[in-house]
Amino acid sequence: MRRRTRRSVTARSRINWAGRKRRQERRTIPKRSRAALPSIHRAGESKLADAAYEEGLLEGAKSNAGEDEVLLYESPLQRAFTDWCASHVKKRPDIRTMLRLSKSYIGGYAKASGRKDARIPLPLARTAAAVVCASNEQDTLGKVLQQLERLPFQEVIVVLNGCRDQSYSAARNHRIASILHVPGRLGHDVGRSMGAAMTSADIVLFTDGDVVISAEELAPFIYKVDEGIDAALNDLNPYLPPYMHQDEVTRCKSFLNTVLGHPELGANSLTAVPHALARRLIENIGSEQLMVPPKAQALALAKGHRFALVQPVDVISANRKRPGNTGTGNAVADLIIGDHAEAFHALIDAGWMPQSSTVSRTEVALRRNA
Amino acid sequence: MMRRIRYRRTYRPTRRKYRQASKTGVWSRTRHRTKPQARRMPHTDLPPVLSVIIPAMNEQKTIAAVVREALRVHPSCEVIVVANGCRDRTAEAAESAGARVLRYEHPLGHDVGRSAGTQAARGQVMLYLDGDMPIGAGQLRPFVTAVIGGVDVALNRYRGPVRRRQAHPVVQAKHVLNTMLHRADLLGSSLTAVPHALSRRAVEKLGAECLSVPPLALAKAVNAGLRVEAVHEIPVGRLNKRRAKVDGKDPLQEVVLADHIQAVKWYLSVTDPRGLRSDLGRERKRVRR
Repeated sequence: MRRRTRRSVTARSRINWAGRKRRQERRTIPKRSRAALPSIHRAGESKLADAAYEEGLLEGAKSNAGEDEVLLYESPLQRAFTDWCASHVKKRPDIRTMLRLSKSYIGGYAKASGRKDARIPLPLARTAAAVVCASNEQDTLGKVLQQLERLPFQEVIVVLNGCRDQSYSAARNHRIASILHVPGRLGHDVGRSMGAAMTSADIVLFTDGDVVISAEELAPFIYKVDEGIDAALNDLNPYLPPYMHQDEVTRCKSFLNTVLGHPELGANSLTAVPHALARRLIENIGSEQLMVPPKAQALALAKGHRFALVQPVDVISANRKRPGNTGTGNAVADLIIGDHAEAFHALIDAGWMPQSSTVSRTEVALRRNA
Repeated sequence: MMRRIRYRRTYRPTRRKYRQASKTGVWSRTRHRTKPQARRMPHTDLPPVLSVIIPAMNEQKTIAAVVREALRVHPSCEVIVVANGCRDRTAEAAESAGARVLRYEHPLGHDVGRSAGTQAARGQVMLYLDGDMPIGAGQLRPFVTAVIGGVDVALNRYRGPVRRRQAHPVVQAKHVLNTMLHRADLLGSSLTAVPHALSRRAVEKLGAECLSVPPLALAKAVNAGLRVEAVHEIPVGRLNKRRAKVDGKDPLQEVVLADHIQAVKWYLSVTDPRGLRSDLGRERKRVRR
């Protein structure tokens, strides 16, 4: 039998455990299909959820058939759930707990009223609106709006531009949609800016008409802004490859955050949907800035607004592959790099420089080599 | 896989050979010297082909080795050591190794030292090194060869540690500057990292003072249409001494970041706010103000 020598033992310990652990973490990225969401109400899981279910039963019995015609925002269901939360839930729970309570409540509600109900009431202290930009998205736009209808939005602004298909009628089928129809193409992100200018809600959620994101995945964004954060971003960091394999656009995004003193934001930016913004942020930087998302982000961060990462929502694999947005040096990449150049330009124009640039070279030399 | 190059151990095999050879008694003096000796040039008034510029501050331990290797790079070569703010015997060590020494009382920093050395240089090719890391002449030659072959700015292809998801701020700055300059093919190469070489043409076009802000010099070189190429990779990150940090931050990092911002600022001011990138038909006028 071969004896294990001392040398071989030390050689084993030289395995890069940290690296292996990191690689394993990278493998466990939440996939789009199995985003961990609370399922239907199960009795006995928590006292509060049971109480919510009971309350839902009581409220459901009171409901009448005409209620489905009303938007969730102004429905008795939303009002009753908000009141119940105010009286029974003392500390503001995190979004997962809140979604579970909401599910339990609606479970009881549906059972008592005898109708299927997929709505998600959420107790929000402020009003919320959504802005959806779409251009020839007749296949997905309906589904996107269907998901948005499940949340307590005051209004959903659908910015249709350059549509030559049935997108308009797809949007018209949903009562919640206020449609802004522009015959010609607006270009990237201009629709967001126009939509943001149209609404007066305190929380504005931005999403696109070409990717269907479930209401459960959207809820955390508005909930986060309702908590007092100014901007809630989609956390795409787990999907990133190592730096050497990242593309130019990703590198620009991370550098902008780093320079502004927020390396924890990684490569996340307002370029990616979904994200939610607070009214005060939009008013402070001006809604017209939103058409160049990196510039808006740079100005907001420089002005001290609070940004937070919410959760990973996989919009990368769902993104439609078009001839313009694939491959290196494509037109969209060129556009976004230009946006970042514009962001830097705006920052420099505003008299902004990175911190402690006053430390002179000689001082540095002295400290390092003395 | 990155190629590992061992510089610190340059001399050990030679020494071992020397010891063995001296035991057996058969060894030729020319082939097994303990240390590679400087090849002295015969005194002529002709300007040399290569000027090696080495800023040094309190680097007496390593400077002699750096100068010796530098002298071996090219047969017609001058080595200029910019000894600034030295309180040890750096200048003397450099001089005895065969370098021309420019002495400065006060510390200048790497970049200003380089630009001071450039003003004194007479060669057609400038090679820039650091006084604290000896790099073998064989590893330096590709830079000089590239410049002799027509490249104006020959950069080290080393890009820093990039295997992690979030790179060091300086590494990010270098990559993004190159992207902004429409030179993403340079990856993270930069004039901030040694070794790099410049042609006489590049120095004349940019001006020697310009070199005191290296990223700005790179932006100007790219914009002036000079041939900028990443020619050879030397992982200088491994060779760098670990330095003390000042309240958790590397003070040099701040300076380098500010330099890169300055370079981006300059580039956007000579082109346009979008750095000559397309807007893909954004209807900006449609938005109310």
